[in-house]
Amino acid sequence: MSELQFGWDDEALAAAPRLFEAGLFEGQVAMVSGAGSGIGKAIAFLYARLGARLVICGRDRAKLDACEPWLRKLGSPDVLVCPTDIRRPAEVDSLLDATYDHFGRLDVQVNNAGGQFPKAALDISPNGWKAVIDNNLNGTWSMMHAAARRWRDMGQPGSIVNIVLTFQRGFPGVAHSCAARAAVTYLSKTVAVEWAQHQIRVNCIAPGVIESSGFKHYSDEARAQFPRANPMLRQGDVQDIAHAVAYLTAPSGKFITGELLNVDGGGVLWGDLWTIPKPPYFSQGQTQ
Amino acid sequence: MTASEEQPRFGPGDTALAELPTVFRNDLFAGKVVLVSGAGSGIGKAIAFLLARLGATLAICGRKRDALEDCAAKLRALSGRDVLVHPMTIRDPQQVEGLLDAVWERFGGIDVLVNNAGGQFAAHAMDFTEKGWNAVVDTNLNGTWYMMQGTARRWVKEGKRDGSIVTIAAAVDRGLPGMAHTAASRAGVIALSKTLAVEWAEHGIRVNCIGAGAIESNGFNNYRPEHVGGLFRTNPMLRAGDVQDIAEAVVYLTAPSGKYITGETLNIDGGMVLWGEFWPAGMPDYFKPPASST
Repeated sequence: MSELQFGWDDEALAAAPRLFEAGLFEGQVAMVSGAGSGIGKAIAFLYARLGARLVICGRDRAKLDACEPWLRKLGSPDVLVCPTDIRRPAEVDSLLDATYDHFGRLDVQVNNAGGQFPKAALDISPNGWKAVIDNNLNGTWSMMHAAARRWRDMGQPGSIVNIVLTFQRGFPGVAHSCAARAAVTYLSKTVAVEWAQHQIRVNCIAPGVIESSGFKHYSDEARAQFPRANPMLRQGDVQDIAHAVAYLTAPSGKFITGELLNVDGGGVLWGDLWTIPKPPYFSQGQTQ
Repeated sequence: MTASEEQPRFGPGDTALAELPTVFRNDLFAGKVVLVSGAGSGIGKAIAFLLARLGATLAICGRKRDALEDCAAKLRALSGRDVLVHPMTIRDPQQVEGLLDAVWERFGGIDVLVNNAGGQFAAHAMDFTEKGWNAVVDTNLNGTWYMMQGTARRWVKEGKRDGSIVTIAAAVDRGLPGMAHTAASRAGVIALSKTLAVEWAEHGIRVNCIGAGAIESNGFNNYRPEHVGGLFRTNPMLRAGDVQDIAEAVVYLTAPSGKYITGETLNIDGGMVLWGEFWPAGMPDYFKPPASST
């Protein structure tokens, strides 16, 4: 049985309409974590099309290696592939060292790596909890910290964007990830102030339900309900997130810091989003 | 002696504005019609200029005919296209209807509504008059509402499925001491927009706000000279933003890049909602640090 496909394939992604000016990131170096698939790949593709040199990292070398030729073909003058587990601070340090050895600079860091597994909070094991916090919160912190220290030491400005998720109404079924993403957001707000003196901007993007390869981690039942997560009654696509990243990290975002941009079709206002089967309790008294 | 010789000039002049770099592709708004209120000066003019450069057809309104006509001439030069000029006040629902009728008659409709018109004056809340309070609420909240409802009704009637509204509000998350009426009316607009984003989602209408912080434009001339300096250190970046920061946000939210964003308020304030002090009417002595610690 072949694996279910969700989101755009590489060809579609490469041919998506380009909204930004060609060459917008020429001369700049952008680092994208979790770039081997899904939203991260879409972000890397867009940076490549806008002329950025790229550092792509992730845990799966094969996926990164498959991504690299696309990035060059789309217009990135140079691509550094650096398999990294962001949960290991030493590996993150090596990633930053490799970036500066190769490019001598870094302009943008997009912390997209992260992940979760749907599970009712009562059933989350200590190890499962720790894995999600370690990956989403500690891993992101290691990345931000490592980049910001180098920017400070070299007197260079920088821009960080963290991809989180919409946590404002809680997130039934992924309590661990909800907690970690809220933490990343408030960490970002805090260092946006602390690091303003170093000309470092720090922002977050909160995707709602974005159709990507990550959909395969959810059940058919959950996926069938995803469009009910927002008043648009539909899923977003990976380009919605990639465009938000480009907007915030290009000169268009130069007066924006400490901000959380929701790209969720209004899901923080209305909708019912369950990543696990919705308990019958919540359907009591429904008249239709 | 003219006012321009007397006062410092804030924000870019028209020539500079027409040449500011933009991150967007130059035909992004080709075939789109956009209505911008308060387009005669400042942020509204910058929005209109950028949209014209990106290929949009523009309708502009505001209270001062001369400023609008001057802006329109430049927009025509930038875009080579027709520009509708309609002097009016958004505070009067009938004038809003007249505006929308005129726009629909000329262009057959619009794709994007940019509610930029609005205004305020700096004053401590204790000193507000009833008239001053009502004027600010009437323009910023009521006027914006008339524009939104009038536009959305037309979109629903004609079955348009991709209308987009952006309102230029303010970064109000921590209040705005010295502009309580503005904070109240802008927060009203933000909550209104969130509500409409849900109610009007079934019609394919997106509704978003921009929470502007201290943006250097000719609007800075409205503040007392001794308070203007403080406007450049309201946030951790210790600087003011520029009109292009807001214009590019309008483009981002209303172009296909924003198609999955609704009910959102994007603060463009250099982080002001997190740290910094605004005090457009001056900081009361109470808050001033002891001399030894400054």
